[in-house]
Amino acid sequence: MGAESDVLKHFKLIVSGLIISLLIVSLDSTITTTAMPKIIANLGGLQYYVWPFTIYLTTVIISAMLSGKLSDFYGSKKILIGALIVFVTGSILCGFSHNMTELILFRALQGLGAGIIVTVPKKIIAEMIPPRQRGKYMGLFGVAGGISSVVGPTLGGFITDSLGWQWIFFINVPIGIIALSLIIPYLPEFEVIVKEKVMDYLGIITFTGALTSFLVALTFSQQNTIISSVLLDSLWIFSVIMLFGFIYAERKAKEPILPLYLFRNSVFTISTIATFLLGAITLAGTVYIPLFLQLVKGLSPSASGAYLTLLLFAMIITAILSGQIISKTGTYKKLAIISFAIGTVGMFLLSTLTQNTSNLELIIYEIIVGIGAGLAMPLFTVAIQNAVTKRDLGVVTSSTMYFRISWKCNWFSHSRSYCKHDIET
Amino acid sequence: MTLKLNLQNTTIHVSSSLLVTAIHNVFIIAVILNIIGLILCFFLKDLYMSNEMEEEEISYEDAPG
Repeated sequence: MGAESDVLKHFKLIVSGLIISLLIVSLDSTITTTAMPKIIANLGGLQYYVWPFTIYLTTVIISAMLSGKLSDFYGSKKILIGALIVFVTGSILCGFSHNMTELILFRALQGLGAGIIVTVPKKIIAEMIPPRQRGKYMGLFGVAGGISSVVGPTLGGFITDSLGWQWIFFINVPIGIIALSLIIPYLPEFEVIVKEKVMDYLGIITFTGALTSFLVALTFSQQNTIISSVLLDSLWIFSVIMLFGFIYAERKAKEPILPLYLFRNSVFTISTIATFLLGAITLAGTVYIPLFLQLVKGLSPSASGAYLTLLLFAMIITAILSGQIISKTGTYKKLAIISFAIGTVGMFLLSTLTQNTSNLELIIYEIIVGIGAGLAMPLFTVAIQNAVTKRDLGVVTSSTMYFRISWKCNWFSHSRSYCKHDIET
Repeated sequence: MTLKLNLQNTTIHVSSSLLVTAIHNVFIIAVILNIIGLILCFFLKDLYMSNEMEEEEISYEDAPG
């Protein structure tokens, strides 16, 4: 009862704290991309260009996966505060890095905090408000990601040029403090439902082993000179063995980090696959539209970024709208069908792009893609949370995030291929 | 038109038509993924969302209509 009255009293402040927490993480990932060439120039180590991203996303995924169970065991508030402190500490250390090895290690620390920060606020929303109202806030959380995608690259460039690359990490400190100053006093600690704290260590080890060896192998396979093919094959095989080990561990664990019985719930299974597909579709749009504009139409990176802004704005507006519609109707299926139908049309139109496509046509196509992706953005997390018992809220929220983020790792592992290019006519 | 990519200190030339095809292929894959998502959504169970907080063990209620 106490927690409920605290929520009612300070609801806006709590939600602001959660949005700022999400903003700090999503902004960090977009800011860093722009600053990386300067960092490389300063610290040296072009051959390690991709590793700060890969390691960061690896630890993000691992901690996102664990965050559900950790918040079930120790309470969402404690875990979120701990994650913010870890993230801010990692940011300070990144700013003081003297070489690429240090930067990679400290990015790993940042990622451990970030994975929890992107997941736990969504669980907190589910703990605070009834299912029907959650869509509104999931939509707002999507806005944090959208804003950082729009503002991040420009801000990253500005900070790097005017203050130095270190400040793209130091800027996280004041923002983190603001988030903590809203969360610590106003967010109540909710009742911990899982009383028996049995950590699934075998699951954690096998999951970490599978993911890390897969991503290391994927990254090395793009760099094809650093390790032998025997070692590379061994990494692939080890990854598959660890994956089977993970499935075995989850079947046997008392408190699994990914309970396999959830896949018998059709809403969970379909929503998880849909989330995974959406991750890939969004990535295709946000990465390959600018690439097309730069490489085929000869636009500058900033001009292609400006075009992408329209897609992101369409996504932000429809994500908010989608949350409102879910709250009003109390259902989500029709909206899911509409979002994928619009996405299909938008992507089909993009597949017809040629060098002669007009700018207006391109803008219309990408807005259609943005509308499709935005409508679906808050939908599946809400659907999954609504379809499970309160006890499973943590693990379903974290697994949704895992399936959404996993695509980014695959992309970053070979993104270096696009770091230097120019057009010769 | 050709694209010159400078990767790890080695320069390769890629024809622009090949590049357009490669990017188009990504968009076509995205169309296929959208269609798979669309088909899956027809099988999505539309559980009605309540305005009440769920109990520890919730009972599922199908959406009207």
